[in-house]
Amino acid sequence: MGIPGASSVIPAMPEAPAPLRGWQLATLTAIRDEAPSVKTLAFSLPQWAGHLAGQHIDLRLTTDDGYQAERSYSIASPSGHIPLVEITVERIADGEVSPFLTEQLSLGDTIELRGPVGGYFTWSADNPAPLMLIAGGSGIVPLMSMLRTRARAANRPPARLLYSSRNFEEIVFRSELDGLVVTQDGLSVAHTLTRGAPANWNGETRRVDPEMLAKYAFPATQAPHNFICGPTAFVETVADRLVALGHPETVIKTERFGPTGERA
Amino acid sequence: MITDARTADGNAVAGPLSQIFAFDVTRMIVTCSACGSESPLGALRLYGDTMGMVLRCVRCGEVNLRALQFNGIISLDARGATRMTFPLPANLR
Repeated sequence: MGIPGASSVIPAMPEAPAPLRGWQLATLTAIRDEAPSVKTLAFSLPQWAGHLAGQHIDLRLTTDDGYQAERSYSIASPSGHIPLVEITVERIADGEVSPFLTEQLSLGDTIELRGPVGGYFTWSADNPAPLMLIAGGSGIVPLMSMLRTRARAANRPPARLLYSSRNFEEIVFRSELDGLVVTQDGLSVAHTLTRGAPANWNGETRRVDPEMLAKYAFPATQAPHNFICGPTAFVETVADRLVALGHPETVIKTERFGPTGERA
Repeated sequence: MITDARTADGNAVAGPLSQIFAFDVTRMIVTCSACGSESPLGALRLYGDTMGMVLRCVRCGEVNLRALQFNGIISLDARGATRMTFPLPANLR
C-alpha cells in the first residue's frame, strides 16, 4: 500500500490536450490497404485540439432502429494539430464494427467520432528516455503513431521496436518501418514471425521470450520507457518479463487488444 | 457481440468517462480494495463493453470499478477501489 500523494506508481506521462467533449461528425477522406484485412482510414474533422501519440478516438455507429455500438481505436497518425486523424483497423470476420469500417464505409461518408481520449498510454517527443516499443499484431498501431511522431521531432531519443507478427504478409506498415530504419536516426526494428517465415527471412521466428528481450530491449540500466501493445496474453507476458529483467513497473506502459475479458 | 479486436483495458473507458470528468481518468491511480496494489486506471483489465464496463485488478482480479452507461446516464460503482489518486495537470497545480 502506498502513501497518498507519494505514490511510486504514478508513471511519467505527458500532458494530454483537453479532450473535446461529445461527438462530432467525421468525414472519411482516404482509405489505404496496409496488409490483408488491415486498412488505414483517414477522417477529417470539424474541430481538433491536437493529440498525443498513443491516444484514442471513439467511433459510434447507430443503426436505423437506434441500436448503437461504440468502439475505441488507437490513432495511427503522428501527434499534431492537423484536423485529420488516421486509424488502422484490422477486419475481424465476425466483428460487429470492423467489417463495417473496412468494407462498407465509403469515401465522403460521415461517422460519429469522439476524442482524442486517454492520457496513460502516451508518448511525446520531449521525453528524452530511450523508447522501447514492443508490438504484437495490430498492437503496432499506437506504437506507429509514436514512431511517426518521433520521425518528425527535432530531438529523437534512441528507439527500438520489437514487432511480433504471425507471418510476413501480416506485418503492418512493413515498408514504412523499413524506410524509417534507413534514415539511421537511432531507430532499430526487429521482427519476429510466430507462424512461419519466408525462405530468405533473417529475423526471429518464435514468440517473444526472455532471450529475445535481452537481445533487443534496452537494458534497465539505460532507464528506457517501455510501451507494449498487443493481445492481452502477449502484453501481460512481455510486461512480466520486463519486470523480471529489472525494469520498474512505472516505466512499463501497456495496452491490450482483444475480445474483452478473454485471455488471447 | 464483443468479437472485434479492440481495447481490452482501462484505456477504453477514457471516452465514455471524458463526458463526466474534467480530467483524463486513465492516468488516475487506483488502489485495489482486495490486494492493495496500485495501478493506473488505463492498465486495469476490462470486461464487458461500453454499456457495462467492469475494470478488474491486474494482480488479483478484484472488480475495482464498474461503469454503466444507458438511457442517458453514466453510473459508477467504485467499491472495489479504496483510493483514487489523480496527477493534476500542470495548469491546476
